[in-house]
Amino acid sequence: MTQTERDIITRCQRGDRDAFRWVVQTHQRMLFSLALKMLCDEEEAKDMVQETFIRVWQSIRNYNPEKPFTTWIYTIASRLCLDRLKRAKRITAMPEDELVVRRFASDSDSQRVLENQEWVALVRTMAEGLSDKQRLVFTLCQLEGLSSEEAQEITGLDARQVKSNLYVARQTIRKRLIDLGYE
Amino acid sequence: MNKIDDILEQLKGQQPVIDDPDALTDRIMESLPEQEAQPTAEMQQQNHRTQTVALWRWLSIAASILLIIGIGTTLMKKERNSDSGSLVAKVEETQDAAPVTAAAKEVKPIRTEAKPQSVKSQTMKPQTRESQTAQPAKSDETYDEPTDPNLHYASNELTKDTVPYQDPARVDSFIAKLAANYDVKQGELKCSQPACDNVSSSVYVFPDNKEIDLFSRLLQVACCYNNETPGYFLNFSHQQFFFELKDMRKQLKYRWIAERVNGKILFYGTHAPLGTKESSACYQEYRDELMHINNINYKTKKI
Repeated sequence: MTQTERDIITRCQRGDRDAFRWVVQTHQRMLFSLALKMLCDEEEAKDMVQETFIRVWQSIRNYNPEKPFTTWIYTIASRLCLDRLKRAKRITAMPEDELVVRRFASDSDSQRVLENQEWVALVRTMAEGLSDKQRLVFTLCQLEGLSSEEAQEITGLDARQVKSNLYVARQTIRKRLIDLGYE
Repeated sequence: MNKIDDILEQLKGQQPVIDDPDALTDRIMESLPEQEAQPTAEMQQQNHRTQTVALWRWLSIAASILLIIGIGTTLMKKERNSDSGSLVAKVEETQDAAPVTAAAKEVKPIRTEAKPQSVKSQTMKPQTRESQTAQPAKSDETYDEPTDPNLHYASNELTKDTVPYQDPARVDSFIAKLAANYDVKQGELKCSQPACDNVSSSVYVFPDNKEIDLFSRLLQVACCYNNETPGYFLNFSHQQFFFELKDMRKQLKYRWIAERVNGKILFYGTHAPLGTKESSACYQEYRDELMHINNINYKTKKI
């Protein structure tokens, strides 16, 4: 964490809304990404981001500056995602999602930026059948590119649990993609 | 068609885009609740001052209570001392109440006489009053009765001066339990001397270690007995323990000897009717024997 970030968080802890706006602007995309991949719904993801920042604002005085701020925000967001997943209906793949996956897989442009609806379709197809924890670990480690240590910190799972959840998730997705004709 | 690993790798690190990030930011900022006011430095000082005042208040209350208790205790002690002085005076008064005692004495024969109930109830009323007032003097009189100096405390006629009966055999039972607990077998000692026929003896060889700590335990047992118990005799050193008691009820004399021998403790307990001539020869023989035979736990030696 840079000195500037530290100063901004200190100002947030004193109740400075302008400083908190900077925090929101900096981290909202990151949280939206996690929420969209977890919840597979754009509006739901935005609501989740909003709720996360409200929680962050309410409890920012309890934040320990010794720990990474990003990890702390991710932790709050992950818990809210899991809560929403518990309440929401089971996420199932739509028939048209398969077409999106096929299009993406056959695309030679590896730098192509996916649209949100494409993300939703891809994740819905791949992560169907995963448990909430497996989905979270897979999203954090595989899709968001976080390290195993960060995933442990965020999820509260130990290294072995993170590893096993990620392994099962990968195997399930692999099987699902093989069923769709990929190798 | 790409491989599965390529697909997963391609997805890694990509982030979906928020179509209108400023709108989301505004939405979030508008929905933020009011944060509780951060305590300013002045408020913190104020809080600190309030806490300090509260602390001092509690401390002063506690000190006052302690002071009151201290004064109260001191006064109570003084009062008790003065009370004990007045008690002495009362005792003196009781001693002076001899005429009342005499009056009670005079009434005494009337109580033992069989009289009709109606008459008794009439005469009892003044008697009761007199007896109540005369009670302390009367009890004094009872204890003042000359007791037979030869009468043992264990006899049924107990007086104020008697010592509660303590059965000496309890020492034997204690030793037996202790021995059983540490798997020490009891050896019977029958003396070869004709004079010792009536003597009942038992011997144990205890290991001399801190766990059993036999000498200390024996000393504790001996100290449980009132030293005014008939025949009470206790003598001990680091090397030896010697304890004697008399049981006037059963007319028995008890004796216990313990001695450190060759890293073990030789315990010798005996009891015999009062007046029986005892010889130390039995014990001496047994002891000499033990010097050659280390452990009677394997062999009971009959002397």
